[in-house]
Amino acid sequence: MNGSRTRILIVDDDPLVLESWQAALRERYDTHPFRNPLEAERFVERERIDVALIDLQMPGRDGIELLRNIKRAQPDAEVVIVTGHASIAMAVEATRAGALDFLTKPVEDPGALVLRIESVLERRRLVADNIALRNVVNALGPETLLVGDSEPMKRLRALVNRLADSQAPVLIIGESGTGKELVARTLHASSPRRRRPFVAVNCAAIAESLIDSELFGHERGAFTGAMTSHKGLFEAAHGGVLFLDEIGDVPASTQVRLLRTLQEGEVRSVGSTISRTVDVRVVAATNVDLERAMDDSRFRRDLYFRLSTFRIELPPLRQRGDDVVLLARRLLDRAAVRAGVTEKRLSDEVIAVLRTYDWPGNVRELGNVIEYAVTLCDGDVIEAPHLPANIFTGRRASDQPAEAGGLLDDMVYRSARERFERRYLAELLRVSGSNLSEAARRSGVDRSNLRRMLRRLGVGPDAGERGEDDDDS
Amino acid sequence: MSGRPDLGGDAQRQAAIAGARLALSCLGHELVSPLQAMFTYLRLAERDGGPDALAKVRLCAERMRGIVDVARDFARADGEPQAFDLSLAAESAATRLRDAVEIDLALGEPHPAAVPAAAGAFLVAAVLRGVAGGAAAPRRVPVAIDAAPGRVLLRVGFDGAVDGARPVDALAPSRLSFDLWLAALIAEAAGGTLRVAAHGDELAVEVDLPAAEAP
Repeated sequence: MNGSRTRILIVDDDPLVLESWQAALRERYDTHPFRNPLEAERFVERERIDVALIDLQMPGRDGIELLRNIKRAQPDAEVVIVTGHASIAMAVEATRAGALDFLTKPVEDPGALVLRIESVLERRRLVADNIALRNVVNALGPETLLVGDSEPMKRLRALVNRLADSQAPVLIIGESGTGKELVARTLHASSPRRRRPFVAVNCAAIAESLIDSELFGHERGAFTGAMTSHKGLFEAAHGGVLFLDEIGDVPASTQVRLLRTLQEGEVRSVGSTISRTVDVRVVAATNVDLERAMDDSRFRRDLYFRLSTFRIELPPLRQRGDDVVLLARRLLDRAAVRAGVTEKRLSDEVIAVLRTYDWPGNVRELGNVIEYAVTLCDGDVIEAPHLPANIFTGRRASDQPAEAGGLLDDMVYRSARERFERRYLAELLRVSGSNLSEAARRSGVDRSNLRRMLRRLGVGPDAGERGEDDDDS
Repeated sequence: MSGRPDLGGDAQRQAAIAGARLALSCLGHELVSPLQAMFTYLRLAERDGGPDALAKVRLCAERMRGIVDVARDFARADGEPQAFDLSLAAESAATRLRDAVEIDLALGEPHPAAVPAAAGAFLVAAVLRGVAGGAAAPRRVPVAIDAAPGRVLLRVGFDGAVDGARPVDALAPSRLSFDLWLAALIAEAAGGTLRVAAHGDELAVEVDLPAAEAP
């Protein structure tokens, strides 16, 4: 599925014209000349073109008819009419049929032809740029940027950069909410395909009966209700990246078509006998165990090997150390802007809670928590009471079996103990209303020792000080 | 004395003007293609130099001269109908075209048609040129001349890629090449017809002319 030069179809019944235009254009473009309009139509049915230059009056085929057939086969192709018999009525008819430009022979300077083609291509580029910029904005938004200073994230960024220039498929594996689509978008935004489309599809969200049609398109009348032909997502992503999320949920029959498309670089729409070449980089993602799915014959092994030329495994948030704080601050800025409120910051106590929570829903869950807090917080500082209750009562790393990660993520005893202490102190402060004396009473720890522990572990010192002041007042 | 023809009534005058308009439009269309190619090659010659582009310019000029010759021959293809043997014209035209395409002549007995000699010669040459040089670009062109009661039939087939053509009855210039359109005009003027007919997968230009009465 390699990229290609701009492909220009030239159709003119006169060999002299055909040859001369080819001579003028072939340096810049990949030219495909045809004297015979029906042969040109057959070419367009199987090969992608970017621009068509067609004569309007040719024996055996009306140029308007050819124009309509080109647009029917490839709605994205731009058509420029070049005719020796120009009239306003013809120009109107050609424009209605989908022609973008209309030139009258003789065109004295072939440079004018190149300018028209470039103008057509520029229009296409602007549309593609618009899509690409939207992709970049999405990819670089605070809630989606690959944020983090942890070792797993540094390794991830390095790997993404290394794979960006490759054309090979990528399989992204990670728990729900770890940012699989973000990584796919980052791969796209960093790659030479960044000006072409990024098309994301959640395979689990499409009905089994429709997935073939969605991915590969269908012809008119291919099945009941197919009133018009429909371009599939592979063709929509031509030149760019197709992100297939939840690939493990693709039904077996679609897996066969997918495999063929990846192997051949061609798609055949439902109900068609003609294959069309597509230039698409496929990035797939899953949060299910594909090895087990293969053992259970629910996922084709050959498709798995084709998709997983490169594998990217995303770390869960609980293994990313202090990234949670960086991410929370980014998400907080974003949420405040979105809510139209002043900038807010996280209290130390909240930071401690965020550090100690296990985040089974990963970054997505963190985003939801921050949105929740911004909605409840009227002031400038997000405090513990602004957080949802499950953050305090939900699953903890220490509650998990060791093989699932969590408790033994920190294999060094000291760091595991500190992690526990932080969680303990954050919860203690929360239930004590950030009152140090109350916290000392509840914990049975001397107030001075408790304050030292809070400072050492960076948990809510301000709250501690306030508690002390409250006591003194 | 004016050299202009007497056009008779208003309707005749309008018809004559419409005919002249159509003829000039077709001639303009025929000339515009080599002119287009000539402009393109001239620019390429100016930009890159070299003999290739200039050789192409010469080719374009020769093509334009050919069109002018055809227009002149058509203008001369007038006169009283007479017994004209299409076979001789077919042999002569085939000789000129044989370098470009294989032409199979199946002429049989002479079957003279009732057309002016210049018109008959023009018609046969134009049909062969139109088929051999058309977009279908045939490799082999079978030519047959047969007789039917009171009629003479010239059939010029397409061998090879025939997708560039399809059955045509009307004298619509947009459906026929310049050569075939002029040939159709000649046939009509002689009381005959020209059409592009399908025979299975094959197409052929078929000209039907009145036969000359036996002496």
